[in-house]
Amino acid sequence: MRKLVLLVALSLLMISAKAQLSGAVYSASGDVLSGATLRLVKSGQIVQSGSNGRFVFSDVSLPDSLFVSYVGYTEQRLWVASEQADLKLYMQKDGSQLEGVEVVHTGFYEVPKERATGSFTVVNNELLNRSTGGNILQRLEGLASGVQFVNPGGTETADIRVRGIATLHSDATPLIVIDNFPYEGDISSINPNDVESVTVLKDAAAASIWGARAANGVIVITTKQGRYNERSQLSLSSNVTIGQKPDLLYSRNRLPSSVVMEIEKEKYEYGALYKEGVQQYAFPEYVEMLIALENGTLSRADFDRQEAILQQTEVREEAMHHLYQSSVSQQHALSGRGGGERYNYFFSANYDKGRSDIIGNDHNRINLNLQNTFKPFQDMEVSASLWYAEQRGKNNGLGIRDLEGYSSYVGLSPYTRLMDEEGNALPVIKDLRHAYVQRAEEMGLLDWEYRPLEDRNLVDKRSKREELRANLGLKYSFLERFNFLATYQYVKGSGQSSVVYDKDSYYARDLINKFTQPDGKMIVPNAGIYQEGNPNASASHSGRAQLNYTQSFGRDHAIAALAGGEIRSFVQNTFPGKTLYNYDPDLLVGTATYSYLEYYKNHPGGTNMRLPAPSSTRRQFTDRYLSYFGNASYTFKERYILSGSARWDGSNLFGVKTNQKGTPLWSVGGSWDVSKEDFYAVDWLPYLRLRTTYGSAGNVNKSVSAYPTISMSGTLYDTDLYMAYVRSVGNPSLRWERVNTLNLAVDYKLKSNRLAGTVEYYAKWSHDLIGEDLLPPSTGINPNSATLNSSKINYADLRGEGWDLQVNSRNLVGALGWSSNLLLSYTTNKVINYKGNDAVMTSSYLTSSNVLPIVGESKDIVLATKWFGLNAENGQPYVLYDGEFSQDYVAYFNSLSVADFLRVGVKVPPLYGSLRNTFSYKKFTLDFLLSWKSNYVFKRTSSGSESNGLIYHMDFLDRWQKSGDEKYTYIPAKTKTGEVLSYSGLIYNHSEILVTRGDHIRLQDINLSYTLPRSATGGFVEMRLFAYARNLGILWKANKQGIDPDFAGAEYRTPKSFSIGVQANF
Amino acid sequence: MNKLYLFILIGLFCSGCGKEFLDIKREAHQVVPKTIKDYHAIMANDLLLVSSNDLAFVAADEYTLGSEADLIVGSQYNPIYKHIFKWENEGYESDEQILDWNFAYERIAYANLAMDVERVKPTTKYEHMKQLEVRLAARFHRARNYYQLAQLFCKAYDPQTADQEMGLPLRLDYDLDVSYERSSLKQLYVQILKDLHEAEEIGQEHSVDNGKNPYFPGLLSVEALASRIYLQMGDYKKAQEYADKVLQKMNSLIDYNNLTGNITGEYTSYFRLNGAENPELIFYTVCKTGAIMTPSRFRTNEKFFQDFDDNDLRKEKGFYQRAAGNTVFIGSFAGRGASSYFTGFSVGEMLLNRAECYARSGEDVKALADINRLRAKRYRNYQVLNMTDVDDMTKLVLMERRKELFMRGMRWDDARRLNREGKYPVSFQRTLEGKTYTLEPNSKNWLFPLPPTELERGKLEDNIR
Repeated sequence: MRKLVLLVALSLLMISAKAQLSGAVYSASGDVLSGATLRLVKSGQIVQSGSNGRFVFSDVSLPDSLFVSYVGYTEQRLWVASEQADLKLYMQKDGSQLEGVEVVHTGFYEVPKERATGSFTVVNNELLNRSTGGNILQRLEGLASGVQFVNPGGTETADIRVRGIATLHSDATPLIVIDNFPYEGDISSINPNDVESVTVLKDAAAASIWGARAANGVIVITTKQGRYNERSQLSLSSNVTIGQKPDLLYSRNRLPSSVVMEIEKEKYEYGALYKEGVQQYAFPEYVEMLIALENGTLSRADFDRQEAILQQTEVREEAMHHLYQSSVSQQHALSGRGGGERYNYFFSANYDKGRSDIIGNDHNRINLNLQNTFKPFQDMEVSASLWYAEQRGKNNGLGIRDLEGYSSYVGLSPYTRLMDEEGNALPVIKDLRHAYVQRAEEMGLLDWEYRPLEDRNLVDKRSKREELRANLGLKYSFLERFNFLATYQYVKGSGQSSVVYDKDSYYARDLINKFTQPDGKMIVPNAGIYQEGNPNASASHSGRAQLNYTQSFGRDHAIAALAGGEIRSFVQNTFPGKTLYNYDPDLLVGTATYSYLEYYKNHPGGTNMRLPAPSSTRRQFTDRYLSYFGNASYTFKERYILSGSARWDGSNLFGVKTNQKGTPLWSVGGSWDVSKEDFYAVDWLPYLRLRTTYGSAGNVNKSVSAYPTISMSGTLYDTDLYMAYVRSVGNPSLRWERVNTLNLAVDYKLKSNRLAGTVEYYAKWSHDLIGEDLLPPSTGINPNSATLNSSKINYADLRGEGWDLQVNSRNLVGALGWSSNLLLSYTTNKVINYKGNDAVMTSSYLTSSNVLPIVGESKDIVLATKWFGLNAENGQPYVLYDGEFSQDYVAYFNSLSVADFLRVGVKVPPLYGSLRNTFSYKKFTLDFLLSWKSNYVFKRTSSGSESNGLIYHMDFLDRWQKSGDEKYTYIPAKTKTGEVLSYSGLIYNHSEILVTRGDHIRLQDINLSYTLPRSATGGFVEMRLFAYARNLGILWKANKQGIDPDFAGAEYRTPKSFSIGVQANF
Repeated sequence: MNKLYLFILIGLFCSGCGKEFLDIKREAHQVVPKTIKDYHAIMANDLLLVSSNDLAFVAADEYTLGSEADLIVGSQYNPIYKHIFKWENEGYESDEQILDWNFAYERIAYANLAMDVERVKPTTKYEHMKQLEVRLAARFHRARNYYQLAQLFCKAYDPQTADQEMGLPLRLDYDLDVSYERSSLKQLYVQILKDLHEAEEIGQEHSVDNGKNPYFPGLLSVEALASRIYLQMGDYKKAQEYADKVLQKMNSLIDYNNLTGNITGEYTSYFRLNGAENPELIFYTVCKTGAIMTPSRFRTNEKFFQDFDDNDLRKEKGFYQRAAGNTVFIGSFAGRGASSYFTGFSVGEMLLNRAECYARSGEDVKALADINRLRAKRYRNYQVLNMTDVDDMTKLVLMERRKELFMRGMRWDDARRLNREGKYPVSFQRTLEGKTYTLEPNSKNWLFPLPPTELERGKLEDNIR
């Protein structure tokens, strides 16, 4: 702004008549702004800044007032008194900053959002920096329209849906693009501090440019870059986040110790349920006490004393005290950038470190990044960049589930204690009967107790991931309107994990004891054990050549086009693991020369077993892609835009025929800026634009082979001819799944940007989805065949549609500013064509987390059994079988088909959204994010059981106990000890009575920041201080059971976390 | 603008290398057939030596059953048998699997896959030879299986009407994703002959005879198949030509007088297992017939049995009377007695093919010579037939054919072609529990309906019966 004033002052000093006026338009940060409108008030001349930001008024009479406008930036007006040849105009962003960075990065080209026909969501740097956390994807939650976090707080692509789903059995994750190339590495190795912006491509016009893998949406991550003619700048940022200790008492899958002990006592007294076997499988501690009491090895007094202690114990409290902690994480980043006329650079170093909420688990990450760009000639730009990331983790912690004993008898005993009054680690029941374990030393074996608190320090589990990413780029501009871009990317990643078990660790002692022979010989030496998991390595090479062309013809016509080709190869390797016995962790020596073939007698029971061998898995996967693409747009009179794109994809995943045929993926689109029309005279709505696109994008399925496979099998009769069986004929027509998307959108802005936003409607038709097909036997595939069995082909169809609504409002402008951002999305899907697999059991439609598609229903459908209440006699559920109330669950269930199940709703919320309110007062900004989800259901867990299982649930306390209770409760009676009611548990646990509405509103986070402007520190530093709180809890929920629908069956909810941090630019 | 050309060049370079670049399998541990040896092994699978004419056996009048009960029990797993047995106009049960159809198409898929051997470049002379063998075999097996399907599911070939009659889904590729309509009958036979002639060319040019190995097809097998198919089509000239080609190279016959063996039951045989060391064998295939024809139910058609002369050793050595009283056929070259039936090509069939063609063109002397040659090895103390003994030469040949090719699956095929031709019509007749069932020469039931799963999933038109 000061520069501007200076310029105006300078220009006032000179006076001239007919003159030329030229210069360039920049953003405050020095970015070239192309497409800015410059208007001279007196003469009425209008020009637009070109691609390099430059503008020229050739024949002007000065002085005059110059208006400069650019969408998203505050309009400028300045007085030009005399001829100027190099006027530099710096534009300030709109005070509201509603629009953020207007430029859309598709990975192939950049375009101002106002000139794009497709559907994009841009999350700019400022918005990304609102939250803390080491994962870039996590930061998009609630901020990107149309992006749904199926797993709240998700950090992986699998947790995300962009505009619902478009596939049934194939990869449903969006494509991640980093710096113009698809990224197949570990997203957690990307440091959010290095990210400049994220663009989500949602419709066909946006995604089809990415071709055969874009059907699930594309998330384009653009990293920070240096800029030409920018003064050197150093940035420092640092923050600390502290998360609360998890609340394990949130879980409803638990019962008080005394209740569980009663149940165990009843089972013990029934007899026959705790049978001692040669395998010495563990019994619950309380049962051991009862046995000891009966045997007389435990006195009544001791029993009563111990029983009282157990009754007072709650394992979750023990765990919270000894196993869990507050999580702490720190992030520190240093970056620098700058540039001269022919050179710019960017570098950064990041260090993240944190301990998890489980004691013993921590992780850290180092990121280094260096980018250089040179202009050896005026027309040529060469860039080279390097990123390195290293992540290390230590995973020695024990969670609540690690305290579970042998699954058939023990499970998670609620009275498990971890530490005695003197602070000694207590043993817990693990795999073997305690009575047996106690005799170990008598039998000449090592101590066989498992003491979790001690063991945590005797195991050293580590993991490490490294990733190196290198980009090389060449840009050459010629013939004014063309530029040629060649880019190459190399990504190399590797991961490994190792465990060192101390010789005193439970794992080592357990293995040593198991393999101690009757004569006392230890097959596994009494020493440490070193294990290495399957190391993996991957490498990808990508290259792209692209020719861009832009030209304007007069003021009315503008064309931008690009065409090019891309080639990629991605190889993943998995290597065999290693095991060293007799390992000394100090000297790092051990032996690997053990016989994994020999059988040894095992304790207990004397069965013959082999030593656990390291994994011998060796795999190699090669993915190759070859693509050609083109994209063009034509703008007429700045208000009509036509755009189109086409792309051809070949891949070794596809069949030969697809690669030969080369049916392209394509899109067309158009937009109309109604408000620029002469007839447009709606005063209160100064901006109104209509957009539409239609086109197709693809998706791949890596589990199906395009190639035939055979197996060799002996010789034919008594000849010497080798025979081969054909296992699969492959599928030469295997091709990408194809998703056609229609997008209709309206962009609008009210006067002075008070209200602005977008309404978008989309419909998706997914065709050629991979599904298991019932094939005509003339394909050679038939149920009688022992050899040919490939029946997964491209045939199924899915339909999806939905709305994305975005409203940005500036409620208060002035010293106290208040703006709101509302995102609202609705998305549904329906299976149109799918031929079910007859062999699937009906019960899997209830129990499976991934129900097979049902024609006419959503892919996310939840099925339930009908509920008929409880029988007043025995408190068990009724069923309606053959028109009568019955309790013949087996006959009833077998009579059911999928069509008889109730369609009770969907498990993924079709309606979801967020509301962000930002208040600013002077240098303070406060914003908070509310999110909601609705119109979906989940099945809450309960205590139905068919037999005497180990399902402990709070509902047990409210169960049916006597006749008449059925009027107040739907929770079935406890199964009589020893009685098995097959299917009754299944029918109850999946009945409509347990189906719960998931609707809720959540306060996701709050951010308070204070900005210290450069001026306040004498130009030395610009600083931002912030405090941030996340996972603040539910404000409203539809269910009355106190369940957080995002954590319906979980042990605990993600705890609240609080951060403070500082960011400084020098 | 020069630079533009450069980019175009780069583009062309990229598209040139594309095919190979994409031609790599994704998962390294898959066994993807890629060597000539791999494809050869696919063509050597014993699945290919099974023939799909179970329905033809069931429908033929060479046998009958003792009771309705036998019929019901024998049809338990293949409900269509009970209708076919009585030549009733009934279809399949809803999800009934028709093994003839399923397995013939599975073998066709094997053949289609083996056609890919042409993509491999042989590096040695030996490999080149092996590649030719595979190329020949793939065509032979495809032609043979389509021919066999045509005998079951299409009308008998008539050159006048073939382009109006329905053929089969003509899959010439293993691609699962392509759906096929039924071709015309003419298209089907054109394809069969195309495969045959290509196989013949491969065999002739490179003298692929595979050492007369009866389990892997060579030129001889191709010629024998050609003779059978042309005879079926009514092209006697070609049928004679191909039979002649075979007989010039291979003409030894087993003398039944020298057959020795220890026959102790219905599963014993005078012949070695799988046709081993049988000098008459040109190509070996076998049909495993369904439960309806197990020896406990099978009763040889009494009239056929009686038609054998007492001196005809095919009667003495080909049949076995079970303790239960029924006579079963154990004379199959498959060497397993009455459990499975040889359906491949033999010198005997070639002699009969040639004889019939001679007879039909009036060369009765030559025809009779072939008959005498065959009979000489089949009869005890054979008295040569003279021209004066013969009334209708063709009729004589056809009768000889019924005897020599008994239970080879040929009865059904022959009846179809004779009825289409009309000069020597055949009707089938059976009596069960006092009721007589007949399949008249002009009946519409000389073919079977298409399998229901195929009709439904492949959306095909069914046969009109």
